Amino acid sequence: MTIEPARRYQLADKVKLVFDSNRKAPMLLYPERGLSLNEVAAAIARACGQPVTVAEIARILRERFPEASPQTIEQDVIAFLQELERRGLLQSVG
Amino acid sequence: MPDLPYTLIAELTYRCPLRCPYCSNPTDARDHGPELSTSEWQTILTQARELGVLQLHLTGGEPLARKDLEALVRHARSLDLYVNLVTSGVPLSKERLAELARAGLDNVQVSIQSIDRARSRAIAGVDVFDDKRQVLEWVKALGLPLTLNVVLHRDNLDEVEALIAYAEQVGADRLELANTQYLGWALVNREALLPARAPLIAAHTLASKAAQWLAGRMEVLFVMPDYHTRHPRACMDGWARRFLHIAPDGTALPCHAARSLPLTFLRAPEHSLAEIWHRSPAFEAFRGQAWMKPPCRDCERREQDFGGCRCQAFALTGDPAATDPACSLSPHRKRVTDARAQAGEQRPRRYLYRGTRGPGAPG
Ligand code: SF4
Ligand code: SF4
Repeated sequence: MTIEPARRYQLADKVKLVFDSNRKAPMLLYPERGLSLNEVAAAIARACGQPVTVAEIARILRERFPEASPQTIEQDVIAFLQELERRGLLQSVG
Repeated sequence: MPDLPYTLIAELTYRCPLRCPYCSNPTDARDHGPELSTSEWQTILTQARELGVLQLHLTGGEPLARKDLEALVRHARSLDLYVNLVTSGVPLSKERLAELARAGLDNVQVSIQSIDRARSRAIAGVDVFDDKRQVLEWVKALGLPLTLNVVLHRDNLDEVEALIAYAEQVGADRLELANTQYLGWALVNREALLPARAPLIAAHTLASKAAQWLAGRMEVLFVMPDYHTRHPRACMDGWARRFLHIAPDGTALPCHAARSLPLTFLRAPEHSLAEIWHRSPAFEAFRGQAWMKPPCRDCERREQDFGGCRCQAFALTGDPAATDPACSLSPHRKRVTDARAQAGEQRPRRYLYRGTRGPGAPG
């Protein structure tokens, strides 16, 4: 699956986003493992709590991180969604 | 300081109505102490969360055999643990599953033996094919994420394509096609279970293709048996690094099979999980690299696979610090290649079912 601009994506049903006080980091939990996230990744994951397009996620991130370039943001979003997809943590919802 | 444990595997009971010949429970399970009480398990869950654990697998035996499963799920949920129920699905009612879902399950993993009723019965030792099918429907009807798990071996390896279709049909979110690990009961039954190379490769190829075309809809995972790979698997991501396993009687282990090793393991909650994780000699035993012998000691892969599985090394060589014979560099590799050569031969094989009279397992 390649990440397409027209499609909407959402975290897979089994995935849960939590803040871990022991590791002092946001984590994505799922049955097989856990993924420790940085701030940007956590913001993307949060946005994927409901069906969203790449552009919509990028808009949310631009508000959160106004100093970052829009181009970098979009690249980060796509790269992270691909990472999620590779681990089976992302569903495509049309 | 060791890493923090991330996953707690709570083996609530060794009881199970099934009798799979590859069961990962110890072959001498009957000789172990009585099961922990509800409050003892709750203490363990609380301590685990404090220690760093975020994820809980409730397993067994068959965890449904515990009447307090709902209470334990509720407690885990109150601690904000990610709760995965690992079950054969038997015995279960729709009402009980709904109650467990309300209590806070995050994922359900159901194992099936085969997509064929007669085969399923021959493998599980009991006729539960229809019960399982029913359970799969309930899991989806309740909106729970479903992992379908199939332990592969020579008598169901030819079903991979059909299993993928079946998993899609029942709406699984993830399909795990995991070849048998030859420890415990599976080692006893190795001759009957270990597949030859050709069907294995064919199955692997099918599964890899399916994984690609199903990406984004259903995950497909295929795990090769380490008897047929060049290097061992990174067992448990390294000894006592991420996983903490508690046996039904409270014995704390780095993995389910570790009880077979000549080490002294402490019991929880009699001993605190912090003490066990951070200060017990058995958990220290194979952390890091100081314990390694050649060829592992000087090998560039030692940080990737940690020298393989300690339990397999001990079972096949008698030395728990030896290189896992699943590694092509192991001086004991012949133990594995001989078994593999036999797997190509066609002759009648019978299972020794779990729980029937066998090595170390009276009655
Ligand atoms: S492997 Fe089979 S016999 Fe063993 S616990 Fe699982 S379902 Fe029961
Ligand atoms: S020699 Fe040891 S470290 Fe190297 S690949 Fe084999 S098992 Fe792994």
